[in-house]
Amino acid sequence: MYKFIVLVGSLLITACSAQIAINDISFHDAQGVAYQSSSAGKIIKKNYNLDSLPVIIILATRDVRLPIFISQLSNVNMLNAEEYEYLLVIANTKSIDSSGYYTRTEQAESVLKGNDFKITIIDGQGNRVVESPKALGVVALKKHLTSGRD
Amino acid sequence: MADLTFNRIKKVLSWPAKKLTWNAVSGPFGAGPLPIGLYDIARREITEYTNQVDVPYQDKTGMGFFVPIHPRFQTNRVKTGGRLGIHPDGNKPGTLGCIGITDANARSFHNAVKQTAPSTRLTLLVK
Repeated sequence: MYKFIVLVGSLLITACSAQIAINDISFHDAQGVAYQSSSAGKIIKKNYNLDSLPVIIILATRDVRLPIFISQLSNVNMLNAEEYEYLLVIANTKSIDSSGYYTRTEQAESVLKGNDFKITIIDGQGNRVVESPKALGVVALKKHLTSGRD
Repeated sequence: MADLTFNRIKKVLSWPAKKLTWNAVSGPFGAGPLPIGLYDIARREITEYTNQVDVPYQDKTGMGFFVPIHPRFQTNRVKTGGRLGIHPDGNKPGTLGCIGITDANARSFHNAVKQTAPSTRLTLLVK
């Protein structure tokens, strides 16, 4: 019986770890500091004495010249990041642009899951608010950014 | 050696030759904190210390300023993150990447820059 309980416990721990590994997205800032999407909001809120948890927008693409990526970036930039309290992470499978928040190319590949483009919005608690292979309009972005507030 | 240094970890902007320091942040919003490296401070382009600047550039006294900074290295940051500069961290805490002075009164920074000759080439090291 004891062995059975230990076995079930071990399986549960393994399953939880796998879940975190699959869902968590690692990214870096321009100074090389690494974050995990599940905890970045809380860490950044504490480090910057923010009033609320920031939302994370991840734009994943196979090429930053893709029209859908350019269009989505343009829509995102229409919303003031300080006002809407979001971080913008670029996940590019081709190359790294370390001038802002970015993911490694392998991470970008795993975010895309076979798509050419994907936008993912993660709230401050690390929960996915939306994940879409289609670009979101400004109204939809506003809705998701505000619904992701703590 | 640069004239000014911004230490992101310590959250301090310093001007060693003048023995001056200010509390400051860069990021976390938008593209986040400034990339590490050397920047030119556009001394000639500093605005007045005034209540006519936008709220995000005002200190707790309701006054503020903006002085642009230009990276001396290759970066997409200006393309993706807009104009970079130094200003009081008004509105809510944090910036879009600019260095935001968090002291209640940022006049001493403005004065220190204004006291230099307009032709002075000031540099800033972000580390």
